[in-house]
Amino acid sequence: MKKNDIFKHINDEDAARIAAEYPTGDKKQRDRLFRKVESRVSSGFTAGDEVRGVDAYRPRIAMKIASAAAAVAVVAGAGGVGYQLLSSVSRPTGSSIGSDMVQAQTEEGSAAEAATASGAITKEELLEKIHSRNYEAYDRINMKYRETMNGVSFMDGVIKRDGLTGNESEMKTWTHTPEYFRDMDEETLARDNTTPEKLAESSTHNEMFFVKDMFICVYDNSDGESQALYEIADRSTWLLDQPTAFSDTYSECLIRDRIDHFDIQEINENTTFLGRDCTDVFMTYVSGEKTVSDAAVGLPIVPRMAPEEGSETTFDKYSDQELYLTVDNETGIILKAKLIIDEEYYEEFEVNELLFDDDAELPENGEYIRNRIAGCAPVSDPSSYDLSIID
Amino acid sequence: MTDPEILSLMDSSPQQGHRALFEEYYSYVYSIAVNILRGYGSAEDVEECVVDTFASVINNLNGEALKPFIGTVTRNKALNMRRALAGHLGRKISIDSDEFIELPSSERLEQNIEDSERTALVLQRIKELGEPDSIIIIQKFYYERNAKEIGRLIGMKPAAVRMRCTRAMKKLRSLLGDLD
Repeated sequence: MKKNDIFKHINDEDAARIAAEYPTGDKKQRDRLFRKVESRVSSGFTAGDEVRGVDAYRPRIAMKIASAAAAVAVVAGAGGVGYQLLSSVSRPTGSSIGSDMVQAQTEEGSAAEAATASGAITKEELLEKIHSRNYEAYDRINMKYRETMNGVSFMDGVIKRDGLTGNESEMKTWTHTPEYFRDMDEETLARDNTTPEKLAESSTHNEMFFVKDMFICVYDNSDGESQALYEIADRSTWLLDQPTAFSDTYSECLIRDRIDHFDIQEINENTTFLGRDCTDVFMTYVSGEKTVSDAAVGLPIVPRMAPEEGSETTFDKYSDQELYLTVDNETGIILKAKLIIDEEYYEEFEVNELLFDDDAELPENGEYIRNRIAGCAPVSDPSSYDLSIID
Repeated sequence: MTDPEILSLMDSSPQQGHRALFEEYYSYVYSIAVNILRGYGSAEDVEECVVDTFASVINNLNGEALKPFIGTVTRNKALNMRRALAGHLGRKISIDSDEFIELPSSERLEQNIEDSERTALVLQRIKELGEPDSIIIIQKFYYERNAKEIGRLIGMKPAAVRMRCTRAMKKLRSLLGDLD
């Protein structure tokens, strides 16, 4: 499907639905256009025949819009993120990424040579370590992790994999701080009778179960107004878990689309995180300094976890970027990552718990899944799927 | 704010009433206008249509039910503008194009249902992306907002919006893999 085809055949009801769920235009834009409207009204503008169609209008079946009011509030109030970096991060922040990074990049060659001379691992060796990770190599593996956007938006995830059967589960919960809604205009807050603090109390929760050839997903939120939904599909159509559900994590996105573009500035192979021996790496990318193909020259390693090689990359070559990684020495799994873009925006990934084999839990069983979907409404007709295979 | 409240405010304090009407229906009007003008006009044309619509509504409002009235004005304004833009661009709409196909009513109904189901599925999948990706996709590909405008709306840097947009689009493609 092409981008331009996504909204090719939208009718008026759908347009109204989109407007209700996804309001557009920030306050500045609305103010500017409203001034034009007032100017036109006061100048005596009169419409021509635009209203003739009113008689022909027939109200159509209203579509239920799940938590439209909340969506309006969320979208309208999402502006004004604080941009503050987490104070708990002890590493240097990106406060000097501009000229300092250029300087660091300029000295990259000598730094890399120094690293090699002192016995520290090279970029190629680091990538080889990372690409050696293999989530399918364990009888069981569990990972709890958190993905953070600028310290105001969070996604907490838990992935469980049974290596013997290939069954997996993935739980995701999205939350926001009041700061995420801080710049919401007062009119909208008053209209929806809410506050940033109240909005921050709501969350969205997905539970995904990959059982044999079946994929079951529960979509839920905490607004208390809309019923949770579930859908069943063929697992083969769900590309985000291929080859494993771990492919859906932020760290795997980094590996697939980004990490090759960075150059190592600092490396420390003797650190500890979650009681595991790790390697900490500080890497940088300076916008416009090199092309993607230049950055990849001489790297013989092909990412093993990449589910597919698309024509697009998430890498933004026009922004200066810093990347901090903590890599587990034994498994090659990235346990922490922090990406800082243009000094102000950052994304962070951190594993809270990593368990293997006997220490790890199995994915949720058939009884749990049945109970979970019992109170949910199906997105589409589930009758063509035989749920008995999950037992 | 409800329609009666808006109408009452327009009587007691016209300017505040106009503003209330504008705030309540801005996204609705913009949504219809951009949908009709997609591929024909620029963002400025869409804004012009929105301004024209509100000015016309305010000057002609006569106690009608607001939503159908505003929807109809918007649609007619946008269609007029599309015809003008198509003429200006020297574009002629082929009788083979979707816009001029006159299907028998039963087929048209079937087509409408199919389109509506398809749209519902696409919107559901977009929603499943979670925020802010769902917002970014809609603002970018439906409203045709640029990264700077989207950034202002959701409090992100334009570069970050572009990055998340690309990633979200990739995910969406995976989710919509079975859709033509």
